[in-house]
Amino acid sequence: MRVIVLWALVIVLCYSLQTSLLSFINVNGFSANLMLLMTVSIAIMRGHRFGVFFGFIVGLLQDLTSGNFFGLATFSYMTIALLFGNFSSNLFREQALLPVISAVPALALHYLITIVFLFLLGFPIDLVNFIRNDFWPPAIMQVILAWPMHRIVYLLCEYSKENFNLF
Amino acid sequence: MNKKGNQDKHNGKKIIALIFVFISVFCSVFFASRGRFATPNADNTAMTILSPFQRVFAWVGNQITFVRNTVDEMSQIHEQNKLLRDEVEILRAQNLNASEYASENQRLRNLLGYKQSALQFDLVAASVIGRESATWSSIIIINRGTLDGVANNMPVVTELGLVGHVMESNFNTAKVQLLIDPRSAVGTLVQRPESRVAGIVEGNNKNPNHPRMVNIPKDSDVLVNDMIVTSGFGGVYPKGLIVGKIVAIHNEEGGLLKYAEIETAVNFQKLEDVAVIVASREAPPAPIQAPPQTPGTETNPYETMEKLQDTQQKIIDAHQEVLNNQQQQLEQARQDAGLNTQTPAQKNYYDDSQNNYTQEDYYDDGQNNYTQEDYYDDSQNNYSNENYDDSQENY
Repeated sequence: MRVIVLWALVIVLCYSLQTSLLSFINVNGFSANLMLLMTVSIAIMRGHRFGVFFGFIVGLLQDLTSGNFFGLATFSYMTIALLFGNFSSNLFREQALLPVISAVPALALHYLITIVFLFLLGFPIDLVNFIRNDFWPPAIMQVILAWPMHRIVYLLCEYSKENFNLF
Repeated sequence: MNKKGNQDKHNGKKIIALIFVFISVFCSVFFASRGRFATPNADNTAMTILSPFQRVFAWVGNQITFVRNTVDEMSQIHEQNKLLRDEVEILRAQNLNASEYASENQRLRNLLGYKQSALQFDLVAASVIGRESATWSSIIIINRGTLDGVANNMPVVTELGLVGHVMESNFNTAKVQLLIDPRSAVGTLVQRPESRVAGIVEGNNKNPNHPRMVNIPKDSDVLVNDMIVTSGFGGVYPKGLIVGKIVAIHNEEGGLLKYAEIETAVNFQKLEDVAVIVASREAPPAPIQAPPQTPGTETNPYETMEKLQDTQQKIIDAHQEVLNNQQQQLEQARQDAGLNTQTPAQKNYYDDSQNNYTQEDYYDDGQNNYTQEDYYDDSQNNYSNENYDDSQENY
């Protein structure tokens, strides 16, 4: 129970940080996505199953609180966790560089899923302008924050593993 | 084998569950976007849990934003201050330049005014570009030389008065020995008409700012505040250039002569622009001025001339009219007397009287043939029939 509370607390803190503090650092409304970074790190370190589960939780949290299209973040995070969890099964999962390298593709995939959904829902998107102007600032933020987030997730996983024999 | 089968079965269930979740979430997106799926309770719960944390982070974010804005403003103020300082420096430099240009403009205007007033001189304007560093000499360097027509021993002046003379001329520069140089000697005289005492102005080592006018006889009429001008003796300096004014008069040690201390008209400490007299000639005569008229009775000489001419023309016209009347009366008298012949004098007279006299003709006739009085006498004589023969003979 304690480890669940600990994880929940970390998730809530990170999400609060993402939606409050980091939102001040934005370019055209696009800012860093800590939930995505956590999901990717979890997926890389603990595989696609736990990754999908984690993505479902944080996505659901985001969908419930953001007021955006419900299920969109959930579906996106789950998909990303599934993909990165499967792709990283043959790699040394505790490499610190892996989440950093994965940060930009993960973000691109997240935006791709979002754009596809928006397109299917009938919302026009200026894709060229988005790629040219809006994508790169948050991508750079993701790269910068990828390693610290990975360290947090890594320490949390180690703590859970050592003390509660979790994972 | 059985265990492996159970694991595969278990994995299969997981995959099916996963696919189910994916499809559910996928569908929920579309349902939610159409407003057919909503989770208000879950939303409230999540927001209730999240809001305290978000509030804390938002407060932190606001504080950070405040600090960042403050730092931004401070940096902007610092940057603005820097820009304003730069601008102030630029404006100060421009102001200094403008003042310099204004000063130069004023000096050149004065010099130009002097050049236009001193028509007897051909002047070449020059700027002082250097001074000799030696303290015992007073020499300046100007930016004009032989290429500009400057030659040795040419006088150098400003609009205020004499500066010195060209000591050495090069291609585009020249050295000017100032009036206050101890080696300088200028033939001068007192400008006051009653005095006109001559002397030599030379530099004074003891008081460089006050050169001395020497060789003044002790009993000569020289007073303090007398203006000193060049005498023209010696051929270097033209006559009449202002040198300065006497500020003090002292007796020479010998007792026969005295000397005067002169305050130069030119301030040699502020010498920037000068003019070299490259040629000089006699001053042109002053334009003829009308004599002074009594106040309150001033008249315009041109109007007076026109009035005079009009009056003369009226006199001539009146005289012509008198002549015409006389001729008519004479004709009438002749017809009454039954005379048809005319003497040569009468004929000339009639011819003359019939002519339209101008002022010049009138006077010419008067000079050559007869005066106005003679003319009247003749006409009166001819008018009398009794004296007709006499007048014919007299004529």
